[in-house]
Amino acid sequence: MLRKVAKLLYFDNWNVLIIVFTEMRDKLRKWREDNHRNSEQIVDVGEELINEHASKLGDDIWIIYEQVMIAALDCSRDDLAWTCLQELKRQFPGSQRVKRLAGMRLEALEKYEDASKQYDSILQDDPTNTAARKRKISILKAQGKSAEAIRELNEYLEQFVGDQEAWHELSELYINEHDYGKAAFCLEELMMTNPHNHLYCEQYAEVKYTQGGLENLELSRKYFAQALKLNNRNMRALFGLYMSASHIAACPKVNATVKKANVKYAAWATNQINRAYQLAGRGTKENKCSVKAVEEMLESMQITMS
Amino acid sequence: MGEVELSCLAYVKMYLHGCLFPRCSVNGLLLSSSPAGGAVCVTDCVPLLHSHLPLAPITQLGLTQVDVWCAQTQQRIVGYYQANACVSDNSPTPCALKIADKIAEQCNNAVLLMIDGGKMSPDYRVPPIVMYERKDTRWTLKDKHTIMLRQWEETREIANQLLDSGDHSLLVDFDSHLDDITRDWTNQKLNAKIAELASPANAFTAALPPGGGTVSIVKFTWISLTARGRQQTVKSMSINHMLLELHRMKRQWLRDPASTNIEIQCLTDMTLR
Repeated sequence: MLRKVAKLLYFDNWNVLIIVFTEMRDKLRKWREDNHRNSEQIVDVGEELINEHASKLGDDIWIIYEQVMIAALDCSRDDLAWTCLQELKRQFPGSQRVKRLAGMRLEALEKYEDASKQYDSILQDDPTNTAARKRKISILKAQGKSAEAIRELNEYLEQFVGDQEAWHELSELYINEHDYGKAAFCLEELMMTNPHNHLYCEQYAEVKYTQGGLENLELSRKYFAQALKLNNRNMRALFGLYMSASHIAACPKVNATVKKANVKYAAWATNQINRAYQLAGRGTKENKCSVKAVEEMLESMQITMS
Repeated sequence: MGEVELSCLAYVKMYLHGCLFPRCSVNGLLLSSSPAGGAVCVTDCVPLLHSHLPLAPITQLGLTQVDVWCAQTQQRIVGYYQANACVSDNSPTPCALKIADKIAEQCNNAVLLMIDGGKMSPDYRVPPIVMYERKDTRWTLKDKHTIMLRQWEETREIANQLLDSGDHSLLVDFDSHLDDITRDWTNQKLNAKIAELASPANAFTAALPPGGGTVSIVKFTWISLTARGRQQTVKSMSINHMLLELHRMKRQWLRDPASTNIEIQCLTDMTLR
């Protein structure tokens, strides 16, 4: 849409052209700040910005080159990535940051040995360079060596305890290895430093649910409830609360009071789910099938519970 | 064991699911609308997750909801598919085996399908899938000759077309549905689009009048020079699609006559009576 507007008004109105160009630049900035990985869009907007409006960008152009290069690697556009890299090399010769980008390009071409050597040379000059260490771990992940990646990441976290991104990555690696206890530990670290993040609560609850057993189910129900308190529109937490409460209530080991309480929680959750789906069902004919499926599912699960 | 037939709809949706989330592992369920017994005919699929595949709650939720929907629409769950994030490794993960086992409890001839990411290129000669079946208690590779995918070339073309036109973003998996419950994980809209693109192959055989008669197949190539000097080639196979393309060509030509070259080649020319 933006591109078409730019073409039509190119020779008509210089002022409008400026507005369109600033919109593109602001979009890229927003994506950069929010750390979005919408690489196809970044390549589209960024390529045009670089090719046609380079002179107006001023010093912003270097960070845009970096952003577009990484997006280009994601989309297999080695031509564009190479151009960006050359510009950056010319402007910042000997920079560690540019060296890391060169390493990433080698990774994208699957030349993992060469990429590793590149990162090693960065680390020789600067052993505290976290970016290079994390890229080395990514190489291990890409090669499917998850045990080694986990080991390296653990070592990294001993030195850099506050790195949220690393803790989250470690929790994902543990989940894929089905080591739920350790994944829960990583998520606990994240919840401690980010008590208002409903996503961490909900993920922790999911891990606890997967571990199974009455204690873990109760914990999972509590954390699903916590996630809902932080964000009452988190559907996963709502469904999770419903399922964990139902399972506890159906467990033969619980006493009558616990069972009664959990039946109440499950009923509340059912109510909320039905309401949410009714609200969603209004106005769109599309999702009638999915709404019907949920209604029946909730009915059928209630029957098995009582 | 038995034969397995994979329909165009099921394959295209699986393929698009993998393409929509190229950096994640994705999985989903294979459905069949034909009755039990005999060959397994996979007629549809439901994409499930693209994150945290091994975690239980959402998987259980998805399985239950799809079960209920199948009961409402006279379908059965007959299999499970997964595409791993790591392209070089397409062996079934423990969670894949677990879910497949669960499905096999309900359905005797259940299949486990792994999508081979390394072979997912637009012009690959064979479908990039590896199928497993259950012998005794283990999942073993299925004999390739018992797997059928009718009209592979057309199916591949449809998948490529949807990818090129960006329509693969219409696909909604269960994960996306939970992020926004107004989106429909049964994918009725996308199903309709795929059915429309797939119809010519059937339409022509249906249009053949009894006692002989012939069909006109026109494949035309439209070469358009877009603003960036890139060439775009469109091959069309259905009458509907052709009309749509003609309309698009007209709009493009009105916008910028100099940049549009239209070439129409008629292959296989037989007249319809």
